[in-house]
This record gives sequence, structure tokens and C-alpha cells, in this order.
Amino acid sequence: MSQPKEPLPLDDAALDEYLRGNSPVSQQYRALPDDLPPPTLDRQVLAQARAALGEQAVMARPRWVRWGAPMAVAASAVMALSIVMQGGLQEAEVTIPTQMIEEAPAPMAAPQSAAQAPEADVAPEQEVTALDFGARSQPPPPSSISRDDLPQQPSVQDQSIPQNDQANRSVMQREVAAEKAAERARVQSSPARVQSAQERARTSEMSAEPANTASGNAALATQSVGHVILLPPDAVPPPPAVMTPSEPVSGAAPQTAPPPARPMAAPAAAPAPPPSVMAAMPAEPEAWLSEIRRLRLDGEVAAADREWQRFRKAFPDYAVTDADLARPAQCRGSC
Amino acid sequence: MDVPSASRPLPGAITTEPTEASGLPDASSWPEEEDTALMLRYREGDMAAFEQLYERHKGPLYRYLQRHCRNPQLAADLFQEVWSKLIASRERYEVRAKFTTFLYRIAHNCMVDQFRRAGRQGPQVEQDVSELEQVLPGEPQQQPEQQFSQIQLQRDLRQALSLLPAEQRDVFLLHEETGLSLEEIGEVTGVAMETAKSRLRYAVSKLRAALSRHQPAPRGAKP
Repeated sequence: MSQPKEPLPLDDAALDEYLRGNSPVSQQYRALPDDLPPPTLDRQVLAQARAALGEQAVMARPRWVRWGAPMAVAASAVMALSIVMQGGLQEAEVTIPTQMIEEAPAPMAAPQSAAQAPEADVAPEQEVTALDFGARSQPPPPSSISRDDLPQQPSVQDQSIPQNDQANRSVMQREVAAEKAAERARVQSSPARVQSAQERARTSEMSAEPANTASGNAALATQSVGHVILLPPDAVPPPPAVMTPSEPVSGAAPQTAPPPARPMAAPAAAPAPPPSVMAAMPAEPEAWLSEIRRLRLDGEVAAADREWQRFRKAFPDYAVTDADLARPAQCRGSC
Repeated sequence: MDVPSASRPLPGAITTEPTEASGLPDASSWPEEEDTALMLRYREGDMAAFEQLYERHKGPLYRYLQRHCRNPQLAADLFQEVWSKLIASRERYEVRAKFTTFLYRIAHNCMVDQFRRAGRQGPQVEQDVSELEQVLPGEPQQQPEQQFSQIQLQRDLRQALSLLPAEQRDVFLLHEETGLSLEEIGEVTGVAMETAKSRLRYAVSKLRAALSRHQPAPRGAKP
């Protein structure tokens, strides 16, 4: 078996002839038809080259021009997001104080009831006055509410509220509570309500023992603690801007009049008015006259005379009977 | 010893041979300078320069790839890959060598990568004769015998080319399509000039043997 012979390589002369392009192999190769790439391939290559130039033109622009549009989009997105988040925070500020008003008093109820516990021994029949009613229905918020006292809110916005906002919120909450209390006090101090309070005061005054002495007045004052003080409607001062905490009522009521700044304070906090003030309260003429008559019948002539003179000052034109005029005519010279 | 190659009429064919050797006008300097200038112009953004460059080199490069890998679809893919790499490397292009050397080094590397991806199987050697006949129609005024002889010659040449080892075919095609010198062919293929020369010597010898029956009979020889 003989294998096909491998042809000998060209010698240098034949190779030089081939390299000059004169060999038959070169001529036969050049006789082959010129194969060209298909037109689609030409278009693809040229399009790719054109696209590369387009990218190069884009890249050749200054950096601030290239990043201008993306930066504008990013800035707009950040601005829109911040506006949305700001709106969400404002909503949370509106809703959170309401929750705090409703939920925060729970831990404060115990100390308040503990502070009022001694009052029950002193004045078991305390009535709820206007301010007290408002204050009890909506007790004043604590001066500072820690986050631990509040129920855990899973809201991210709430967690992101700084401590400064908490302080502002507690102040705002206090103001809201004070306004609500003042509004209820106005409702409570309406004429009809004052009229009923006057009736109760008069009844208690009439049922009281003769109290010309200081102890009697003090007892009367103690008994009438918690009633609305009978002042003319125009004499009622406006409610305080910030409600003060209640003070426990002590058995020994102060003899001096309460400071004018706090006339409408809660009965637990207001000291009992002195008897003189109670006596100076003008009642209905007939009731006053009947009181004067009772004093006369009891033999307390001096007191009856003083009451009569005050009655006259209060009601100078009120028609009275001769029996009522008798004693002042007698004492006119001596009194 | 580097033997200068002959100047060829193929587009993009560049030669470094001295004018005295071939006796042809010196056309070796300005086309290459023009290629380099076109590439530099394209790097600066001149699309017309690239179109001109592409028009000049697309035929030889496509034939080099097609006749080397013998697969038209694969040749088209490699063709596009070569130009893509050239486009991508335009920023780094420097005038350190001939543009043709730069272009065909890319092509050679793409083909080597393709052979490696294909599992070192080498280029496809089968060829459909009917496809060859479609590609190579004879001229209408030729006689049928001449047309048949021409088709037979081209088919034998293609077959002989496909039977060459890849390295020898690579050197032969580079020389025939680009007109590069042996030194430049060695630069493109990454071998020494003597290695390229040896490969070319064997390639031409085999082709000549394969086409011997188509050779005209020497003068004085009996039929």
C-alpha cells in the first residue's frame, strides 16, 4: 500500500515567481468570482458604525449637559417625594393629638383619683361645676408625655417625629383641652344653669342654721363648696387660657376672697367664699325679705337691720309691707 | 529573507515592494496612507471616511473569511464581528502599523476564537458542488466545454484550498487577498516570517499539484 505522496515544497525560485504574482496558481485563484458580503450585512455594519458615531457625539457633550436630564428627573422625584412625605407628616400631626387625648389620660387617672381621695371625706356631696365637669370629661394632658406612655404606633412617620414635635404637640394638646373646657364652662354658666344654681344656693342658705358667727359662715361655706358662685353674668371673668390643675379641698376654707384671677376655678381648687360674701349676694327680694323677717323673729335685730339696709340699697324701689318698714324706722336714728 | 510580494489589482491590496522590483508604478504608499487617514477621520466622526474604508476592504475580508471557514453564515457572522471590533477600537487606533495589518489581525483572532469555540474542529471542509456552480456561473458567450472546464477548475481550486491545513490556507489567503508581505503575514498570524514563508511554500506546492491537470501543457510537450 502506498500513501499519496506529499508534494515537495516550492523551491526559492518558484516561490519568488509566485510572490511576484505570475504563477498559474495565483492567476487561477484570481479567476474565482469576487464574493462580496450580502447587502444586508453591509447595511448592518454601516448602521453599527453610524450608531457608534452617535454615541460618540453624545459622549462628547459636556458632562453637565449629559447629566442634566437625569439630574432634573432625580430632583423632581425627590421634591415630589418630600411633598408627599410632608403631607403625610401633617396628617399624622392632626391625628396623633386626638389619640393622645383619648389614650394618654390612662396612666394619669390613678394619681388624680388618689389626689381626690381625701376630698371624699371632706365634701362627700361635691357637685360638679362647669369647669370641673369639663376638666373631668377631658382631664388636662400631662405636661410632658413620654413615648413610653403612648401606645406603640407602628407608623414609620410617627417614629420619625422628633422630640421637639412631641413637645409642641403636648402644648397644642393642652391648649385644645383648655379651649374645650372653656367652651363647656360657657355652656354651664348660661342663665338657666345659673338660675338653677341660685336656687340651690338659696335653699342651702335657707336651710342652714343661723350663721352670724364665723364658724357658722364657715360651715355654710363648706357646705356650699362646689356650687357655682352667684355672680352677675357680667362679673364672670373669662376662662383662663390654660387650665390649672385641681387643688384638693381642705376642711378649713380660707376666709379671704379668692384671687380674681381664678374665680371660676374648679371647686376642688377654689377656696370657699366667706359668709360676708355669701350674705352680700342679692337674692330675690321676697326671699331676702323673708330672711330678714326670720332674723327678726329670732331676735337677731342687729343682723336683721343690717340685712334690711342692704336690701334697700339693692332694691330701693321694691314695695314692702309696713311690718318690714317698722324696724328701720325705729333704728334710723340709732343705726 | 523577505521576498516582496507582487502588486495586485485587488481593492485594498497593498504592497511594500520597491518600484524597481515589479516595474509597476508605486501605488503602495498612498493607499495605505489613505486607509490610515480614513480611519483617523472616522475616529473623529467622519462617517463618509468609514464608508470609503469599508467599501475598499469589505470584499477581500469577506472572501478571506468565507474561503477560510467555508461556511457562508459563519463567514457573515465573523465579518460583522470583525467590523464591530474595528468600530469599537477606533478610539485606541494609532498609526503604528498598516491599516490592513490591523484589520486582518482582528480577523485572524476572530477566526481563531471561532475555531476554539467550535471545539478545535477546524474549518468546515465540505462544500456543496451545486452551491459552487451557482456561485460560479460561466460566461454566456463561452462554449459549454470552456464553461465546464472553468467550473471544474474553480471547484478543484476550492477543494484543494479546503484540503490545505488551516495555517497554510491562512497564509495563502492572506497573501492572495491582501498582498501583505511575508513579514506582515507573520505579524498578522503571530508567527515568524520564516514560518509564514514555509507555510506558504507548502500551500502553493499543494495547490499547484491539485491543479496540475488544469495547467496548460508546456511548450514542446506531446499531448
